[in-house]
Amino acid sequence: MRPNPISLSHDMTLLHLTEQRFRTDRLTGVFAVPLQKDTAAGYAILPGLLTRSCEDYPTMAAFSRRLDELYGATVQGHIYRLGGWQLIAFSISYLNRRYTLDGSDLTADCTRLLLDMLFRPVLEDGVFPADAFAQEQRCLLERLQGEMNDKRMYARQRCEEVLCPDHPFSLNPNGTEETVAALTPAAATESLSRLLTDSHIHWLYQSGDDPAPLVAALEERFATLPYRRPAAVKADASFTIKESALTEYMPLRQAKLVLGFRIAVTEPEGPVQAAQLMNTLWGGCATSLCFTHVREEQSLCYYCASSYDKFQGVLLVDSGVQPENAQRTKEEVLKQLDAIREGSFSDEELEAARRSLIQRYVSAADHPEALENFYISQTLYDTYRTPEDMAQRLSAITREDVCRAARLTHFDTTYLLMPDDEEVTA
Amino acid sequence: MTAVKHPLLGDTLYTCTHPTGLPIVVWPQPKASSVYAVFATRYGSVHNTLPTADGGIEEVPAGIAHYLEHKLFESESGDAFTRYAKTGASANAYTTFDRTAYLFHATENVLPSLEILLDFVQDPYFTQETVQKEQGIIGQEIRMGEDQPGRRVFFNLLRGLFAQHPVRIDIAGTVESIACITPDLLYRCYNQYYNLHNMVLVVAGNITPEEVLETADRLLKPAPALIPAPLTCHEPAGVLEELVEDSMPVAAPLFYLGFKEPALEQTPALMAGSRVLVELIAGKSSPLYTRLMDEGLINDQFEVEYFAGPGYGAWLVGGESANPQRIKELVQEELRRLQKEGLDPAAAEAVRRGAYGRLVAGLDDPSDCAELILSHLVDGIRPLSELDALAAITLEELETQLRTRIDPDVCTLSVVNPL
Repeated sequence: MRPNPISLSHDMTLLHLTEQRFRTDRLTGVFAVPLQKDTAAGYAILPGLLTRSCEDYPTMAAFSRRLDELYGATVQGHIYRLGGWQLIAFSISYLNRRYTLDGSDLTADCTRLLLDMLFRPVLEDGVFPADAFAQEQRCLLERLQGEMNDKRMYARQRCEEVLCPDHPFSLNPNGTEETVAALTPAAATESLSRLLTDSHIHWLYQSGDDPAPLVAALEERFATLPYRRPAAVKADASFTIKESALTEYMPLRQAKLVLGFRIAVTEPEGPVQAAQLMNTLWGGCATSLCFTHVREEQSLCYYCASSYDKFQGVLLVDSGVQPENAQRTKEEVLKQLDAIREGSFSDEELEAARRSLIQRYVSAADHPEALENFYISQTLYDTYRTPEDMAQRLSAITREDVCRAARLTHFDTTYLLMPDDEEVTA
Repeated sequence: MTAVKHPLLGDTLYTCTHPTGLPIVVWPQPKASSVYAVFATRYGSVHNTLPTADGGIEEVPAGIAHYLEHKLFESESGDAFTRYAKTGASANAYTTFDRTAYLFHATENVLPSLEILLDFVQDPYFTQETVQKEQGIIGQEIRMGEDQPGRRVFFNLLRGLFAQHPVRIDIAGTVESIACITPDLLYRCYNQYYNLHNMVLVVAGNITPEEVLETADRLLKPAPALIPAPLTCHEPAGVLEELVEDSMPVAAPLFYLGFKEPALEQTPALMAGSRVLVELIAGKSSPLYTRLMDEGLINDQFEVEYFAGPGYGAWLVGGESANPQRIKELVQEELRRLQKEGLDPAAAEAVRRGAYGRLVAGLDDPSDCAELILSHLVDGIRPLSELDALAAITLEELETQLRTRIDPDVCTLSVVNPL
């Protein structure tokens, strides 16, 4: 089903996905702002503060009870990083009237609830209440501190910091411990005002219903703002190759190896599909060269996977290995990249990667959140291709396109998180 | 196949027991883009014994069900992933405490993918060389798990809660235990547990029951009706340890608090009751959640869940906290209060309605639909009967379950402290 983009007043877009196959309807507001060190924390605390209450349901218990009454409607707030942008998304999903036990239609109540979270939050003397603020500040701080618990994610994050120093891409979209600790209720309230006035706003609406009542409700709420002035979208994916290496230590059982690469292929202009297919062939599916050679043939690891950020032109390959195998694993991963550059892969391997990628795109259409994520990644440049469009584009990528994408890929950073007592480095 | 239209969802499910003994459920969803198929056996890490020739019982190495899952992908002519690569299906497998499941998700070439699934799962091929090769890969999977504090705090909890039941053994085993696995042991486990009478096939998405049945007729091999004896275990009612502590590189203490439940045969009403009670006890709308948050004892990592399988059950709360001991006291206090005073009828009705809505909302994707049906079959209940029970459960039933299924004094606290 082709999405229907509707231009709203106040510099907003509504993308209507006229899906009738789902049991749930879903409305999401995506607010995009430049990712900056001094503002990230203020925006990052908003999902916590806004998804716990609103004026009509002023406590967490009352708000949660209301969601239960609405047949378990789910409210979510998410923070994403998209290239150098911070995305703050608020969504509500609820049962379609075909499935409520009493036939009630939840659309109007759920739309109102989501907009009340944004426009009628609980405030005292014009700012977020001190106790609610303190709870959410603590939760955000503890989440940041807890990031070290997931060693694989932690190692990837550290590699990105070494790979792209001084660039928004390497900033944590949840802020830092210092910037979160420095927040105040007044600063968080100010962040909400700026979010509503200064961000790029895209609404995604998955429902078979006529969007007119929703359009009217959105425009009515935003008419109460003094102004709207979204920042211009500008991308900076430029880079220089530094060939950095960093080894850090922790009490671990397994070393985490992350290799960082740059590629001058990014949205919106670059041959992104060729780079995606190259990435899938390299380490992005169960028949990839890394999976086949590093895991299956050499039994070096359980996972050896590559990922490609099409907004920043960053590729990461990561693996969990025995410390003494880190160097061998690195060499093998680089060898597979060379193989792609030289075209030393079979047609079967290429076609398997292509089918795997197409399958991933097309099957996203069966899940409301996956479909939403698919379109969210396109909101920055207002290019609304369907999963089928993407499949078609991928079908046209040639073997030479893939080899060229690999030749445009430059190795830069070796990050290694080692068990404390190990001396080996890669 | 028998067609049954579900009155609440409006969808029709097709079920049959294939002449080979395999129960099959097909959930057609004509508007879906994909098909998800899962072929599973009631064989998980808790099934850690084999019968011996003299009528006795032999214990097998920890982690062997999971090891078998890895190795089944290989056959004499190559591995299943290579075959799937030609159809474009996304294939995977997983092993839990009580099942091993092989699955694929496909948007094209669905029937060839189903053929591959039914074929390789029925065609074991283990040699000394291939079994040996997998030790490096699974060894690294185990090491990865050892570095995950969430996994550590959970398995430590199980080792504290259960004295005898094999649920206390890690699903993947240890580097040492998997070193004892041989091709012969794998074949014996396969022959014992991978019998079509002990397995199920569930297919959901854009496919018809006729297509599934036609493929099944061609691929399924007749099997003697051998159903492994139910797991027997003399698990005491009490816990083995009330407190299990460990330390790892974590930012703040992680905890799991588990209340041991007497072993119960799962029924739709019990499953529905579990979904509602966990929310009433410690869900976000509960007084306990507000209190824990107000006292700064929990953060947004806090979760509450019910956990059960053959011969075991427990009510769990977990998360991150500087003071897990205080959380334990407050949870016990709240359980006693609720058992004494009863449930708030309005809260119970709202939570029941919310739980019903969330269960239905989770049935958009064919993979979620098929996995729910699989759970129901493995638990021995009629597919989707949990949903019917949720629509019908009463306050009285909930209060009875609250008083009979949870003993506030029979619990284990597991904590992983920072180093």
